[in-house]
Amino acid sequence: MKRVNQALDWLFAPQWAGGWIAVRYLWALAAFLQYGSDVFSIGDVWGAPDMVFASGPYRLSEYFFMTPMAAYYLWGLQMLGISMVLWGGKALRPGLVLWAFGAWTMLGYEALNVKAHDRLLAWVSLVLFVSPAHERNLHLKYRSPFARYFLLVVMSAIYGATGWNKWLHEPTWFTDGSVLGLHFLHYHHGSRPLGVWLSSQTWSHLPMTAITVLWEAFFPILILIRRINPIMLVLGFLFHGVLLITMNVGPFAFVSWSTYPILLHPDLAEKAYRFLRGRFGSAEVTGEPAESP
Amino acid sequence: MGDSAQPRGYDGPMDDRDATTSPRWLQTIQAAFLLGLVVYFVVVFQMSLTYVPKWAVPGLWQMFTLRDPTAAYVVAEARYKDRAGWESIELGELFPSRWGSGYRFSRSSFKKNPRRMRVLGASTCLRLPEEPTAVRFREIRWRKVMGTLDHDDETERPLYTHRCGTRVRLPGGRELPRDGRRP
Repeated sequence: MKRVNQALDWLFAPQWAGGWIAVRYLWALAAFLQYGSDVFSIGDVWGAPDMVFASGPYRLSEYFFMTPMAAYYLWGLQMLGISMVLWGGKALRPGLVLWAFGAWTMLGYEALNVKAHDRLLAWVSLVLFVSPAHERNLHLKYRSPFARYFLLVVMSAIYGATGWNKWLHEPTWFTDGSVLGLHFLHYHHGSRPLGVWLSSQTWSHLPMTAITVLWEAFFPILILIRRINPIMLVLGFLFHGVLLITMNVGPFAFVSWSTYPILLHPDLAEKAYRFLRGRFGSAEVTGEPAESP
Repeated sequence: MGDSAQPRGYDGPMDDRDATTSPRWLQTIQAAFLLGLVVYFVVVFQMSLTYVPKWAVPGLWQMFTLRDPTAAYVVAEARYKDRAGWESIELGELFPSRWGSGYRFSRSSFKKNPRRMRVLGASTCLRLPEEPTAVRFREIRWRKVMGTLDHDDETERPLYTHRCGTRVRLPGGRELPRDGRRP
């Protein structure tokens, strides 16, 4: 029992919580980029009386018929929720609930395809809900690491599963890299000028695919090693950045990036914050009194 | 969140630090939850690329996994009363909404589903400014060539033909009008 207590003490030692401030702002940006423009499609999609579908677990349209007005309300609810998350404090959790209700009612009604970044944002939102992000002045606080562990598990599952699926099911990721060159030419996901040009640079395919798969497959382990942790995140930032400019995958990069401030080891994050504050800020970090919300 | 504890890696005095963590009773539950989550993701990973039950969908992650040497898009044509032949339709103008990754009607999950194609057919009949007698959809496919989007080896495959006026039911038992313009 003593060992269990020691293990729990070690596991749940408070960690610097300042990273949650950045996660909150970045979450709001990602959610807005993902759902903000839906308002322009209401007439064609959610408010349309003709193109209505039900599929798999998404069967809302069997129970109610969405009018354009209802769709505008739901979209407005989402935007209100995102604004509340941006505002923070006690508004954060109700904001997340409002956003989730609006977004997933619309996704569930549309029923065509819940995209990877829809699901990823839902997981990140769940983590944000149980995190200390609703507190003010988190740059002065140390909090339970539970939510960070939760996020580490989720992001490790996403990157790890993606990488190992590639490794185990498609040999060209490690032979000639042609799989990536061909994805750059996908009629919808690809076809961007830089991607099309890169597809002709066949010498670059194998290095890019091998690094991608190795990075994804070993992310769950390497992200936990403090010395390698920031390198993994820099590589991840570059990886998503390249995808953002070469392919059409929606705001996936922004959703992923929104988690990075808290995936960064909290000691390193705190050091980085202090360095930046000391360099560009006006006040000393250590001496600032904590304010209540 | 209530128990105070020394932050890991911090050796200074605690009096000016606001440090708390989960209470002990909650720590056990949280640790069990995290363990359960790891097990869930591992089990779902085992199922990926084979049969995936509904409960596994939230944890399923596979992106751009397989080599895809061909590309495809969907075209549509309409036939009008008193006119010969099929006339091309600009589907993107009738159904302008896109995913980040293309028009909704172009997705393979859409094309493979006869029920969705039926609704698309009936909706196309209704959205066209002039009412046709029938609409048909074809998939145009070609082999990708590195470094270019040009292609000259197109093959086509019929997807679906819809006679306008055919009865089509929407989810919930509602019926699309069989004639007239957009409902």
